[in-house]
Amino acid sequence: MHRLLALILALSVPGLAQAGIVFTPHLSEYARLAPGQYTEFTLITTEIEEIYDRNGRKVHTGAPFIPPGDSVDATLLLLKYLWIGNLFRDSEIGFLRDRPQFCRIIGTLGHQQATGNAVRRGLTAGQHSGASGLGDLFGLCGIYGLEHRYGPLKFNGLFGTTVKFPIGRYDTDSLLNTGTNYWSVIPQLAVHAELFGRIYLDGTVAWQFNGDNDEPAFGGLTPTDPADVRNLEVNLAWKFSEHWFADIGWSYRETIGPNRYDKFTLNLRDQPLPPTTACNSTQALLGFSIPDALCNSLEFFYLEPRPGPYRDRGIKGTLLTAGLYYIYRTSTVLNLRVAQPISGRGGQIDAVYDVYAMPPDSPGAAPISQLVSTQNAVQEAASVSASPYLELRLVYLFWAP
Amino acid sequence: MNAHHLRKTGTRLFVALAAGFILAACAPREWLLPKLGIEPPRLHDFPADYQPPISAQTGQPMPGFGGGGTALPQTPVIFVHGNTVSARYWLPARRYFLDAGYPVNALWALGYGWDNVRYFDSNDLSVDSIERIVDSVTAYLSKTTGREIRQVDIVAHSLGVTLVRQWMLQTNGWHRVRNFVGACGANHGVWTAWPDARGQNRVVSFELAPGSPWLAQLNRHGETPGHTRYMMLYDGTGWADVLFPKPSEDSPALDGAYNIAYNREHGTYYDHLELPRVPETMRAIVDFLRAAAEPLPQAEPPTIVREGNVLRASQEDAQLHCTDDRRYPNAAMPPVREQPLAANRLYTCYAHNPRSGLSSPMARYMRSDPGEIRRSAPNLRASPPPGSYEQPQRIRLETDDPQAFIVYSIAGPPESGSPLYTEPIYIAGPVRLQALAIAPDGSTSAPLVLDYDISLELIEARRTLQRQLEPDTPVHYTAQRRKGR
Repeated sequence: MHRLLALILALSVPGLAQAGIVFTPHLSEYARLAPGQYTEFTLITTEIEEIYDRNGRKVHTGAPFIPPGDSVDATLLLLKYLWIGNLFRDSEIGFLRDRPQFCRIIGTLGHQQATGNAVRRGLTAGQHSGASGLGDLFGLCGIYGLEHRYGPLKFNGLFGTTVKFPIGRYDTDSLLNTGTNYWSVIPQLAVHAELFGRIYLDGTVAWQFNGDNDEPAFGGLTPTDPADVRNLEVNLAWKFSEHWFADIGWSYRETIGPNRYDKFTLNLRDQPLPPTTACNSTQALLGFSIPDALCNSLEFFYLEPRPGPYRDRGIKGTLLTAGLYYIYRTSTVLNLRVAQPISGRGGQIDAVYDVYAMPPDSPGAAPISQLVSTQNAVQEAASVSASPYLELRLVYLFWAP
Repeated sequence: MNAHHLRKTGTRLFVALAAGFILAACAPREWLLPKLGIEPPRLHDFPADYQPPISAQTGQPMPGFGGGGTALPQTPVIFVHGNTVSARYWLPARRYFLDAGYPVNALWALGYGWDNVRYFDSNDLSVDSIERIVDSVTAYLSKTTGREIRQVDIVAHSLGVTLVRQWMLQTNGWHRVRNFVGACGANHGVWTAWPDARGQNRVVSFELAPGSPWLAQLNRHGETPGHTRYMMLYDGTGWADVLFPKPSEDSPALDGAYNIAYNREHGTYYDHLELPRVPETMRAIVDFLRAAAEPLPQAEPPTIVREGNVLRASQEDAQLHCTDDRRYPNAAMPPVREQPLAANRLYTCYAHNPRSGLSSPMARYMRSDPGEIRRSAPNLRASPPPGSYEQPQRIRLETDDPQAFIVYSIAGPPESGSPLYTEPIYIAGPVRLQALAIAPDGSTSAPLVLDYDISLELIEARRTLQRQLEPDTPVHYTAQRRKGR
């Protein structure tokens, strides 16, 4: 009896996976660098034309409700400040005096905008489709391990913990946001190795503990309980000369269990719906259908979503990266990198809508039918881009020659 | 406690920790801790009766280690660290040398510089500190052992290599150094230094840029002067030591030194910081140091005696090492019992006694016949005049006596063995340049004392926003330099 209700609003937009990007290592990311202060400016830009669905298939953004060709254009600017030093040097604290500490602050600014049909569809649910402004703030502190050498191999470990402060701009009525509205604590273990003085390996395992999001965006299609995420990343670089490096990287992130959604409210702004709209499954603008029996007997329909709880199947994504580095003197590093997703899984939930013949909040109103709609979850915690992104990075050392 | 509370507590702890670190990052602990009434921890492993010298940079007693026993059966070793670090760099070497049988009394390291990457050290600005270190260590050991300690061995790393070489050159101090081991020194430049550097690092960049006039000055009259034994230890592959890539992989080598391109020769991969601190290379250093004979304990060093136009050593068993081509003599020069002075030639000599192992300072001589009528002592003048300049200067010295030679120093009053003026002197930092013209008969000009201030602050004072808008605004420059500049 129940037929698929394919709501128009299921655009599935990942935004930029900020946390994922932040922890994708670069050349010598985890090396015991010289003590000092480093600043870094990273510009990331992407045009998300494809995403992954819950079965790991690559589909175009907004599929199947809008035709291919529209996208979400996103630009993220990361401003990083890194301090490396040793507060305990020359002290009696044996463990710490030999192991430098570091702290990093990462501020983010973002601009994201959906295009064309994606915007129009968002408006039917009273939702915005663009966001600009301050992103979340990341604070990271940690400690380097000792350096070890075995012949041509030199390596060191690192332990750090990042806290994501959800200070970014966040609008519950927006398809896209530059902030996430939930805290994260991310301990990580990392290693840096150098082989023959020419090959550099950086890798990390990070566990991202996510807090709750009591105010989900876009009608509850961002999780209220984002699942924790495990990250595994490796970067391999080759030194051509003191000035030129190239690297390739592999990055994997996967939620541990499903994301949970229990404040699902996404609905059409203009109700009731006439049968000419609600019952025409080929109607391009709406793209859902109501069972024929109801269509033939009622003049108007009201839809009311059930808030949940729902779960997706969890998300995951694998990226390959390739980059080129130019080191100008020793104070400036220019880095161009391309990241290409090679597999993934996005969040989707089967949301339940009650169909009413009168306003749902009317006395005596009772659902006349229930319909299930597969909704694509949105934003960083729940959606996975299948489109490449481009990264332009500038690292500047205040003190270097 | 559930996971939510754990996260919240962990987050608060992290925020507090991060705030502490960020505060520390913005305000160095050497500034911050005294404000809180806490003495910043520093390496200070000296005997109670030893007063470390004052650093020419920080104005504070130098941190470090050294001494601690009474026995001193061998020449003491002074370790000199590189840029932006301090004496702690040499703690692994101290452990190794102790294990190799060195007495604790013989091992010294003092931190001469800022010990901070925000404030770069430089060669010229640290020469005074090296002088103080060597004076302090030899004076202390002479006092505690009851015999004059005239020589030291020096093991230096990175900036310390060119710094010690500059100290020996400027103070005519080769006779005080029995062995000099330099690891990873930018003797012929380092690619990270640029001749157009701006900012607090610029003095050392001016000095160590490949092909810099400063390096030419350091190397011009011989790379291994004196009877000092030189060993230069470096990477040589162009890959392991990031400071010396191809084609400058042999930059640290010195003509006349025992050069070991260790990684190239042994197939190892030790990097810039590791090279002098791993057991294999430290074994090589110890072997090199021990290959030199110990000086006789109570011996006096020889001096050079001039009798008319002939030079002799003051001791029967001592000999002279001389050159007449303006280069410094060294142990490779054939020794002579006496050195006649030919006309119109400038001789640079030192006396060395192979039995005692001691040498005299360098000195220069010209033939002077008694019948020659000389007018007054030579005059000496300099251009550009002393003062504050934005950019490094080349100081031209001129004397009105065409037969006189000119010597100079940035480390006190010059003497005849001080650096010989043959080309304009390159000044990259704030130094006091002192010069002297010496006639063949030994008469000298009045000493010229010139204070040059190559100043970043002057640049900043001249280019304020207000002066951009109103060029007539006076320049407020007080010749005060901020630290590290």
